[in-house]
Amino acid sequence: MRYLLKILRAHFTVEFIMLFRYPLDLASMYVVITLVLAGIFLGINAFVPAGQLMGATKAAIFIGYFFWTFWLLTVQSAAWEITMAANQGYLEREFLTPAGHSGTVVAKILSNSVSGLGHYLIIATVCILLFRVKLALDVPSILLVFLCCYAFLVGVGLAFAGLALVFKRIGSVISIFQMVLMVLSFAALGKFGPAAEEVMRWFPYTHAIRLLRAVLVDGRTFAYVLEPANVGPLVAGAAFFFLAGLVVFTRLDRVAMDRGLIGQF
Amino acid sequence: MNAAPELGLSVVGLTKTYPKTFRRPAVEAVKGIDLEVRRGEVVGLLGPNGAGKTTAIKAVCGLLRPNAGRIFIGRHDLAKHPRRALASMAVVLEGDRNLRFRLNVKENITFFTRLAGCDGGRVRRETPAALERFGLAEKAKDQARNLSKGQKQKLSVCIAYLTKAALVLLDEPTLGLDVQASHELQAIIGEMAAEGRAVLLTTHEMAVAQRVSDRIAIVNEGRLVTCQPTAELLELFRHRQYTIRIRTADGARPEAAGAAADGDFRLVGREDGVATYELNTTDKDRLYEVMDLFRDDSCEVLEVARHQPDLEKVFLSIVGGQGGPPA
Repeated sequence: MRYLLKILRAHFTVEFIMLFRYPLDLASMYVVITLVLAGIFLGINAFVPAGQLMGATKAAIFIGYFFWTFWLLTVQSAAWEITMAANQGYLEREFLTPAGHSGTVVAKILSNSVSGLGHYLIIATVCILLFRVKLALDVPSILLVFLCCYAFLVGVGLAFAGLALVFKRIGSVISIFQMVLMVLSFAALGKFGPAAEEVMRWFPYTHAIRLLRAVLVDGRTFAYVLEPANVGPLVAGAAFFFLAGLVVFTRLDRVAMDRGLIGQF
Repeated sequence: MNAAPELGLSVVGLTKTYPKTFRRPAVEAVKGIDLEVRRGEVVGLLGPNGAGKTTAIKAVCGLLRPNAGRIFIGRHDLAKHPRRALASMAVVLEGDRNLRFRLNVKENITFFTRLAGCDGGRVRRETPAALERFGLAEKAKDQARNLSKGQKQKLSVCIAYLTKAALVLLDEPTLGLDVQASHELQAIIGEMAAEGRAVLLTTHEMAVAQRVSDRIAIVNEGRLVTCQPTAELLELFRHRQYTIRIRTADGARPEAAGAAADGDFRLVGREDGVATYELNTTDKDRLYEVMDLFRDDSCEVLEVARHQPDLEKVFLSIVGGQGGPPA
């Protein structure tokens, strides 16, 4: 744990340094996210007739978009970071730490996604205020749901990082998964019937979106989130996917170590 | 089994076979290597390309999983206690793989020493002196991408130096450096050993290996062919190489040369009735045998010069099919 904290600090420090080393890139990122969010909110204002649950629609879409972006920040960047580090040659060197290979990848995912999330939250807050999206901010509910979804995403990120170690170029595989998650983020899954809804309850990503919409849009409380039917699948699914991701990474890391693939691009 | 405490590295029966893939058959890269590096000494690991050096080094770093054998870093078994073992080791990999190019010199030191699990306070205190020692003080705020090749290499070694690890692995640390930078690094390698660290150095530069290594280990075709003190290894080959210059009355090729020709004896030049021969032999008595033949043939021996062997010739003799040093 001591070593994990040290490499977490190392990777967070690098993220912070890089953030301000390239101010133009940072400014451009802010512009892009602002434009995308403005596009979503203005688009809804333009195309959805007045009086048709405008606020709820905007908020619901915002949550879907937020999660989808969060997926990109977490999972895609994990695989991308591994690929880039292998490509530029410093992956082997970064893996030479007492925290182990999985510790290194977790530190990379956390530093990357937390930094990205920070920017995103700043811009999202400004947009929410500008476009008057009404959200019920129940902090404990948001934190619990968010952390569970994050654990799921880190698990998936670990699995993709393992694939990147062995197969090197996995951009297209991630794109396929990205499309699936896009549908899960924005589609009204309830319309596919109770069976589909029950299945999706055990998938932390969709379940988290559903719960967060219930909290932020419908004003449900922490007590609702803590209902066994809600919190049970959320926590169990998050733990399962995190551990499964860790196992997949460990196995693929072992394959890479057997075949001498670490750092080779 | 526990390694002796004075050992920085102990490798026992290291074997690595890369598994068969769709593209290539299984490759037996390392075939049971035993190697020890004591604290306070530099061991030069030499071998031709494809001999298994890099595979062995990667296995020692924990980047490759061996099929058999045990690796101890200090007292720690790498397979059983990888965290403790890795915390006792500093590695400088070959080429531009040891630095984050967008970070400056100090940031690279902070980043990589944190990855190594070092005490941040100690590293901060010792960094100014280390930068001074490595000639990087004025470059402290320069990004690594703007450093010269020699400075990048010095920075990589400086990071290894600051970790205070018991074992330092250096893979081709002087490759591509100018003479001055190479000599400075060699001096630093010597200092690290003098501080009581074990240093394992792989290089293709024989002169560097000869200068800095206390012992030389030569790997060929996945096997450790020899591992001996550098001076002893050179001594073993000392008697083996002679240049003999002779003159015959009419300047013709002496009969003795034909009689002496035994694969180890060859004409390398002839000018104005003087012939120069080279004798490479593993037999101490062979020189006297050749001399007797020349005397019998009435040749005038002008000069017999014993060559001062260098590591390059020793290396070529060993990996060139003779299997190992003479007994």
